[in-house]
Amino acid sequence: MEKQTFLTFLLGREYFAVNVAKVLEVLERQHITTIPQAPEQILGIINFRGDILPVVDTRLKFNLPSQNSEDKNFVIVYDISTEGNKFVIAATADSVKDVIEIADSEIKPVPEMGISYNTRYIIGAVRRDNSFIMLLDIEKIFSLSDKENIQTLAVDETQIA
Amino acid sequence: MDISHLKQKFIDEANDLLSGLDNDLLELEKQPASKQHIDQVFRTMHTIKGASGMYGLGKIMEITHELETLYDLVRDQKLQVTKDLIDLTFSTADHIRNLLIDQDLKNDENTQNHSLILKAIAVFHKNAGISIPTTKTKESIKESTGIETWQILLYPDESIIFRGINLSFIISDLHLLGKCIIHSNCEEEKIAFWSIFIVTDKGRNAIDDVLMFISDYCKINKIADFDIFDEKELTKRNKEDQDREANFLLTPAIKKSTSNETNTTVTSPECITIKKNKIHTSTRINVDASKLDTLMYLVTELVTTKSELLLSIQKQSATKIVETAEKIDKLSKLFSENALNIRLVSLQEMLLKYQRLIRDLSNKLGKKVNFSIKGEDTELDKNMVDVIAEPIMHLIRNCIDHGLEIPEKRKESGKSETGTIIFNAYESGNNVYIQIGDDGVGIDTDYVYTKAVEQNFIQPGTQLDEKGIFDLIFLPGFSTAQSLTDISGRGVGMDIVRKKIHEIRGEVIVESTRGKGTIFTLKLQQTISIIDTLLIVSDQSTFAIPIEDVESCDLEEHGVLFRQQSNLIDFKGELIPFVYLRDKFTSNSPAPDKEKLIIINKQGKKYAIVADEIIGQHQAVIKPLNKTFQNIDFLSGASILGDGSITLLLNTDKLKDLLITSY
Repeated sequence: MEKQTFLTFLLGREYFAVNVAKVLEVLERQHITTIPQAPEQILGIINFRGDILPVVDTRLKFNLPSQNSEDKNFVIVYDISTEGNKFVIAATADSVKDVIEIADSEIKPVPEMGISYNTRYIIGAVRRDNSFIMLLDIEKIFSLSDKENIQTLAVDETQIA
Repeated sequence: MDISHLKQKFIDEANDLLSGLDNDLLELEKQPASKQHIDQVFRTMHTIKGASGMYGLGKIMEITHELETLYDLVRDQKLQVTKDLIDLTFSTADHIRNLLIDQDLKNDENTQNHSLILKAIAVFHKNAGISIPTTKTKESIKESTGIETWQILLYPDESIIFRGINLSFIISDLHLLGKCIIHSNCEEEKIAFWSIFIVTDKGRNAIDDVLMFISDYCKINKIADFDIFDEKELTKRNKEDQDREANFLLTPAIKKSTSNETNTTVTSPECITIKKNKIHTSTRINVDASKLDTLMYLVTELVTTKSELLLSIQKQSATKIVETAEKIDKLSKLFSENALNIRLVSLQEMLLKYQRLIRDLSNKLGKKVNFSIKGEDTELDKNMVDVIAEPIMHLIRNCIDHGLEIPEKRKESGKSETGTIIFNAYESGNNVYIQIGDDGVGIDTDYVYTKAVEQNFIQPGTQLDEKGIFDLIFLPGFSTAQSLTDISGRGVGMDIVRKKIHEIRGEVIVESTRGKGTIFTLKLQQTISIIDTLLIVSDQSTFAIPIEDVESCDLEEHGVLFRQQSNLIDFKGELIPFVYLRDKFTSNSPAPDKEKLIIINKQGKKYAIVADEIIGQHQAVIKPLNKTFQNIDFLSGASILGDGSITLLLNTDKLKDLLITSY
């Protein structure tokens, strides 16, 4: 039985999970430098190991009101580079919970109706301790909605002297 | 072994050789009798021929062979160096460049060119009264005793690349020994070994000498005491015969002494070629060996300092740790200096291209041009050189096409028939200036003005000073040319020149006098990644301003600033506009009673930035802002401060534009 490891986090009252293979690091209480006149869903930038990364407000992706406060935020740094295309990005979470193993057979499809946010980001759902955990397709989150941003979000390391 | 590594190396080298060839041809054109340059052209052809045969680039071999034969005639003084011959050689060089990309002549145009050039070469042969030799190799074999046929089996592997051995030179040296025929034996698209047949009377020792550095990879067999190709007795060969391996001690000193002779066309001995990327030539840079020596010295210092630090931590000696920390601080500064230094390249390389361009253009336009170059040793960051290459090419084109007059006209206005294009580079302070200019007609301000009105760029009657009119030529779509030529005049170009130069935080300055000529000055920063900045705070954010844009600092009461809505302040009796940084944020915290003013002077135009606090100077390592923010053009990057927080670099140019649009 194929098992994959996921990192779970909380957004509002909903549990989400992302494949740990895509997660570089979880940062706590980060100071996010705001950028004047930046797109709404970009909270600002952080200094991640000397690189400047944009931080996406994940709450906005799921129709939740933005709730950024410096003393309790979590930032998850994702590496979703494809071959030849380095793509590192940070996104917020209300709190980071656990690392769990999920067997492929446990993953159930999600109905398209009755959910308050767009299901195209969701691979499927898993039931744990009487609640559902939504498995996120992290590549889609950072590409589908802002088609324009896909290529442009990539960290261009060659320019850094 | 994978042949593509070696092949790519050959293509890189061939391109280098061809650039050198361009230069030699330009010199040869000036002094057609120069034996030195004739020999150089001949050698270049010879080297390319030898190596291209080795990599199965038959078409290149064919064409270089024919041209080599021509230059051999020149060497024997059976043929004169004429302009036609030089033109032909130029077009052949261009053709070889195309062939390096399109090796199998897939492009019809290349196929046509190929036969055209071959025909043109044949004409020269005819004129020289000699028919084209039919044999593939031109070395005549003396029918004397002592002719032997040798077979060399060459088994290259990866290490041959890392040892920096240049196979093409070795092959061309082998050609000099006598008739040389090369077969490559492939297994699964990789070359397993080369078998090289040599017919020579020079004996085993001569072959050993040539193969000195690759003897580890070679097996040399004598297969006959006569020229087997004469008798067509190829079948006689036996690969596994008499394995004899020669062992030579490889010392760098010997290596250098033998390679010097052939090396001159590619790099001077004190230069080392650093290869960052095997695929693309533009990513290779030549670095002066002394810079690398400094790097090596710094590395050794770092290693000792590191052990010092570990030791003092073990001993928990605080003073020692502080001392080492200071040392590391000093070292890091030296490291960054050294790293930037390594990235600096001289402008020389790029000038070659321009010489060629000027020659072609002046021929085409029937103008006589003298290219005067000063300060070609000036060094600039490699990235910058790549960025400015195209704008400069455009400026030169413009100078020749629009600036210089045709010889008759020049004579009429009392100038010498030959026009001059200047290229002048120099350093001043932290900046590098590059001037491109001509001694032609100069910019006709009235004409530019009328054209700008015609093309609806300005309203009729607009008052503009000379500088304002010169600025018009940088507008996108603006063109003064009466007729479109394929050289310039399409109205794209000058705006791109300015855009590209602005991208690297440079400036373009125009000076022009009617009838005397025009000079474009590019003011550039030597490196783009580290600049001195002034740090300021507005609300919770820190910003950095390039220090060279700052004229002075002042402070003013908040109430006074906003007494009126005009956003103007009185600075030393001069009314100047200001940008209020807090406006750019939705900040809630109350503004301080006294605000700080930073007076910016950008090309004579002054404005002020209003901030809460001035922190001080900061040497900023500029990191590019993510492209998500590319629409926010008044920020040109970010820099990380000592405490890990981020400061945003303000683009003083765009901030100024913001002022204009808000009115």
